[in-house]
Amino acid sequence: MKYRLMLAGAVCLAFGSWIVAQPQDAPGAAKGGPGAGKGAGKGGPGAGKGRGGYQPPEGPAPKTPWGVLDLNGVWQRPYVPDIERANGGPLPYTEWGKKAFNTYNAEEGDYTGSCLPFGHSRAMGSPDPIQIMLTPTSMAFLYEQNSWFKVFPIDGRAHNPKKVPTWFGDSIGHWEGDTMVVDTTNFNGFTRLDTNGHPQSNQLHMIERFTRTDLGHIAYQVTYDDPKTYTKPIVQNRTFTLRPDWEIQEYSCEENNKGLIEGRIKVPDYENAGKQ
Amino acid sequence: MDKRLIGLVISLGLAGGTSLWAHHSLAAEYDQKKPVTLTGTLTKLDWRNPHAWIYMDVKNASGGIDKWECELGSPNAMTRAGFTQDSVKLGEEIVLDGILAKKGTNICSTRTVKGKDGHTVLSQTEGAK
Repeated sequence: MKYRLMLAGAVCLAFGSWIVAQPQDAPGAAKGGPGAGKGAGKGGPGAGKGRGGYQPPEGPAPKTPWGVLDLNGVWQRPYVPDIERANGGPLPYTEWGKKAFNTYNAEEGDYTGSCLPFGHSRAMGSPDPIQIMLTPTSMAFLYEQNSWFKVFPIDGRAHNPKKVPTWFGDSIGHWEGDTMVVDTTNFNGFTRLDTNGHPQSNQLHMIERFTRTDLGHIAYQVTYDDPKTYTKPIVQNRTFTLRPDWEIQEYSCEENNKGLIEGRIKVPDYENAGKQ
Repeated sequence: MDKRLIGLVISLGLAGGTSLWAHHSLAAEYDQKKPVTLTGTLTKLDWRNPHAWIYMDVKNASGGIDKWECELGSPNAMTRAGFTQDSVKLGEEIVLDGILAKKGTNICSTRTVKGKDGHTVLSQTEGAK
């Protein structure tokens, strides 16, 4: 697996360069089809340039009128399609978790291709922004991805074990000093942690810590504690950047999902995929 | 296993290129081992979520016209990157780089679309210049 990941990384760099530097061909030609591929891997000037250039507002972390650090705002997050790469090394799979990853094949039904809910982890790692809304007693994540949302209490109540297991899980929040801690359980087990399909079970316990470090940033830490899938908790840190120049836009996944409508995307077999 | 690895490679590659694709795994629908470069005329730009689609007429080797449909990133993300549905005009000659769909004919996933003069008019991997 180690060598496969190294290979994947090398091809990734080549492919990433190809994405922005593919040489042009003669007018009038339609190329491709089986066997096509010449030119892949070429880089060149400008390869890999990102959007960049944005500078968030500077200043101390603001507080709400009721005296806690203010998490409100539209936040740009890093796209995390692969938590293993973000982890900097192999994930500590259990036997069940390893099998769940090795047998996953997106071609056989990446559930998000059918516009089914990403689940909280994958939605938090998507490249689209989120808006955080905070009141003294509740908090909401407005994910631009597919216009989903999550609203949950931060008033000290406990999880309600009678709730139906869900894609985004059951969340409660509380303050630990200047850090908002969001605790999520009761997942339905149908989702993956990231685009690459790293697994989670319905035993996942997700703990997220949000700390407004200054006017322009939130330090975000996520812990995946899933004893069925991983032998020890996985902890990752990310930085959210304030985007007062952005608004959350509508994102209808269903409207023009041609791949599904025209039969190129498979609907997952949930009769089996949801088995734990 | 190999298919999963391909999915991993594609996702890593797109992450490296600041992809505006996020709706689902690219490997579910497209084959990164089959890149395609098309030169032709823009006939339609469908600027709708979850992903925009670009339609173009491409001359084939026998002198006829092949009609192609190629998927882009989400309009939301491309808008933030500085592109709009007016970034390219109907009837404009364009050069499109992408990868072929695993199913169907003349269907691809778009990486970049460039105008006749070589400047990028649409992309799911870079911002507007």
